[in-house]
Order: sequence, then C-alpha cells, then structure tokens
Amino acid sequence: MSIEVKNLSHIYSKGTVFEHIALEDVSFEVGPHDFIGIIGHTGSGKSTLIQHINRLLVPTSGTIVVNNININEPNVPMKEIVKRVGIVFQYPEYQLFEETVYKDVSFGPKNLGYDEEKVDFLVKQSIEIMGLDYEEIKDKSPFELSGGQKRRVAIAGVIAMKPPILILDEPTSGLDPMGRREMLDMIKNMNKQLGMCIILVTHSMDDVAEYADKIMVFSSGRLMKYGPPAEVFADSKFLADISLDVPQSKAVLERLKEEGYEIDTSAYTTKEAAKEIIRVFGK
Amino acid sequence: MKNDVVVGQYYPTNSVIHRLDPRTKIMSTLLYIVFLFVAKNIWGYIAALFFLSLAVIVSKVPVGYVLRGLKGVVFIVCMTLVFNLIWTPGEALLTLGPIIITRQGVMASINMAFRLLLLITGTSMMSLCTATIALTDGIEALIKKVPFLGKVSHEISMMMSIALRFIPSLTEELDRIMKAQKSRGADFESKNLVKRIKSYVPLLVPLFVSAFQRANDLAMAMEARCYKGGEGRTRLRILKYQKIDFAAYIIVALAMGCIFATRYIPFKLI
Repeated sequence: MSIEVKNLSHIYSKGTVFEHIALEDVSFEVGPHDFIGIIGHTGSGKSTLIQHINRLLVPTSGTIVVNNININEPNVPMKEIVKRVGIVFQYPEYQLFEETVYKDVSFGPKNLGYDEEKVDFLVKQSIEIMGLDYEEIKDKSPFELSGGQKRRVAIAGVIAMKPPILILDEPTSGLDPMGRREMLDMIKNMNKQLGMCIILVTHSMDDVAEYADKIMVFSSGRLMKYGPPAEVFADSKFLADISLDVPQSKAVLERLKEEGYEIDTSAYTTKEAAKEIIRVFGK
Repeated sequence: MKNDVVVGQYYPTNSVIHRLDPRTKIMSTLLYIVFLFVAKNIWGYIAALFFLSLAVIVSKVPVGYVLRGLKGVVFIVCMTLVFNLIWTPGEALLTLGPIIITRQGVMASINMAFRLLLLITGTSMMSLCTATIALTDGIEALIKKVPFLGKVSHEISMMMSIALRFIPSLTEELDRIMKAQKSRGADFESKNLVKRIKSYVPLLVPLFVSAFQRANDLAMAMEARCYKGGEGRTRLRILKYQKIDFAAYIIVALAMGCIFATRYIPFKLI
C-alpha cells in the first residue's frame, strides 16, 4: 500500500474556545496507482486530511504511513516526505514568485538538491505534461500569463519533483468548462500513463464520477464511505442526508424512474447514462 | 506561525471587561502605558503586574493565551537586556575583559525588560478583550476630540479598521503560501542566516502580490457602494458610557494612583 492512515484524529486549537474537531478516527489505505476522489461539504475535513499526508499538520492522534515510512517520526526529514507526496493547493497560482516560469518550476527540484542537468530535464518534462509549450513559455514572467496558464505552471512546479503520489485540492475551481475538462484529462493521464497515485479533492460529483476509481466521502470530520463510484453513488438518500448530490447523469436516470419508466439507474457517468437512455427510448 | 500573532486578535468571552465601552478600554490602556513610564522602581512594576493580572483574571481569557503574545518579542526584550547591561556606565560589579557590567546596568536592564513585557501584555489584553470593530469605533470617537485631527478622524479609523481587518486574512494567506512552498521543499528553518532570509522571498512575493490585489478589489467594492469618506455617514452602533464604564474609570484611577505612589517607596528590592 502506498498510503496507510490509521485512527487519524485532528483537533484544532485544543483547550481554547476555538477548539474544533476537524477529523475523527479516520482510517484507510490507498494503493500505489489508484485514482481517488475525495468529496465532502465545506468544512468536512478534506483539506485537513490532505495536509497530514505530507506532515504540514501533525495529527492529534493516529498514524500515517507513506511508502512504508511513518511520516510523523520527527527524524524523517521533510525533504524525504515532499519527494514522495506532492500537494497542489487550491488556487495554486498564488504561490508563483519567480521572475521566469523556468525558475519558478525549478524551485522544487532545486530544493531537493538535484544537479542542473536533472533539474533542466524535470522542468521541461513537467511543463510539457501540463500541455504548455516549453520553449515559448520558459522565459516569460509567470505574472504575465493568463489565469489558466498560471495554474498549469504552478502544478508543473509540483510535479517537477516527480512525486509518486499527487494530491490536488480543487484543481478546477474558477476554470471555464473547457479548461476544467482539459485539466482533468491531464490529471487522468498522469495516473494512467505515468502511473502516479492521484488524490483529487473536489466538490463536484460529476468530476469524481467520470474520473476516479475509488471515492471517499467525508462528513463532519468522519470518513463515511470509501469504495468504487458505483457503490458510493448507489445510495442517493445517504448522500442527500449529508447534503451531497449524486452526479447529474445519475440524477436524470433517477428522475426518469420516478416518472415511471423502466430504467436501470446504476450508471453514473455521462456515457453510460446516455447508453441506458438510448436503450429505453431509442426504439 | 499564525498562532503567534496575538496583537490584534480577539478572544471572545462574556466578561465585564469585554462589555466595557471601547473608549474606556483604550483610555485605560493609554493611562496604563503612561504610568509604566512614570513608575521608577521595581515596586511600580510589581504594582502594574498585580493590576494587569487582576484584569486578566476578570477577563476570563486563559493566561496561556495572553502570554503567547510575548513569544514574538522575546528577541527584542533580550536585545534591550543585553544592551542595557553592557552600555550603562556606573559602579562596576563584574569585569569580563572589555565588558564592564555595572550596578546601574543591571537595574536598567531589569527595568526595561519589565517595562517592555508589561507594555506588550497590557496592549494585547486590550485587543483580546475588544472586537476590532468596537476598537476602531472607539478610536474614531477619541480622535474626533483631538482638535487638529478631528477632521480626518474618519479616514484614520477607516485605515486602521482595514489594517486590523486584514491582519487575520494576510496571516492566513501567509500560512497557505508557506504550506505550498514547504510542499515544494522550501526550508524556512535553515541555520544559515543568509539562506534563511533568502528563503522568505518565495513567501513575500506572493503575499505582496495578493495584498495589492486585495487592496484593488476592496477599493473597487467600496466605490461600487458609493463610499466617499466620513461626511454625512451615520453609524449603526452609537457608543454610550454605562455605569460599568464609570466604575472602570474609578478603578483605573485608583490603580494608577497606587503605581504613582510606589515612586516614593524608599527601600530597594535589589
């Protein structure tokens, strides 16, 4: 297993009036090539959880093992952890600071102490993975790029460190539908072609339905469900109870069933749902 | 990092001190500061410490929380301690090569350290017990009374409330950027001073960029709502002194009297 979390709890500002339980007894395992989607309401503990996976937060109790290393051992250097787990925070474009795109993307690999040749290779590769033209963009200032390009450069800055595990917090927020799809396709490619383990935190049921292999559902600091999308989306009443929706395509099927049509509501991706609708209405 | 900043932070409890008029708290704090400088000897500081502790107990703010504000200034206090210790001329107590530690130096450094610590704890007590909006309302009302500042009192308090309002936002932002850069292997705890200063560039550049962006957005939002300064603006909360405020003024006056009286305590502790 590449990530093993056991009985993780996190309490903010313990012992003051601001005390707040962000995570409560969370346990799960993630495989080395999984594509995991994490969904949950605002304040459900998603962001707190991902910050534990590279020791930005220290658990109040519980253990986190990443690639057989217990990352909460104080003698494990931070560099060894960031080599293994890359985190792309929400609105990552706000972390850009260098004069040129090249310099900004090379910040991570340089911090890891790689030599110039390797840094050069990694920067070029990661800018290209993000679908940008390396020669055209490398000497530009990151501040003169468009919003979508900035975000890609910022993500390139994280994958330039070649982490086998990549965590992305709402990477599509604020993007137009086209940019959204492109971004998710790129992430899917990293998983399928480069074999990276992807953890995608999002609000969008449709995104996780289309892309994730397994889904974690969080509600008020607890891991409520963890399994393949078909299983998680099978119980739409449960999702409604913790104020989450089913994917739109599934909602359409359920609505048709309510109207009395004999339709199978198990599909949750657009493609599968379309097939089912054609099967029923196509004749 | 963000938990170190206590100045400008509010700790809500329902104590008497929290319910006081902000003007009372500001004036009391100003008086307290003045009297910290009036105090001449260790007895004065002990008296001030006593009254401050009393205020902390009444306010129901946890002591640990109040003291956390001191973490950030330990360095400054130590610096003043050392400078006072070394560079005060007088009767020599101890000679270490070229460094002569004098009796007066020891006294001066103890006094300075006490004064600074009491000053900072006192002022952070005020902000812990007063919501920022109330604080700026109070400051505006007080500035209005100053003859040559009265005309711009609204502008001054608006600037202050914006500054105070953005302290938590910017510390949050800083925290976020710090985490993002840490995830990219940035090291902010290097022992090498030059490296350490350099390591702050990846924090400060994005922070400034976002601060300017926020300023721009805020100006736009204020203009969109026809903000044009204080003229003709009415207020939602009108400040009015209550009985507890008069009581508080009397208590403060007595406390200050006590601190003043300590100047005349003849015998020395050290």
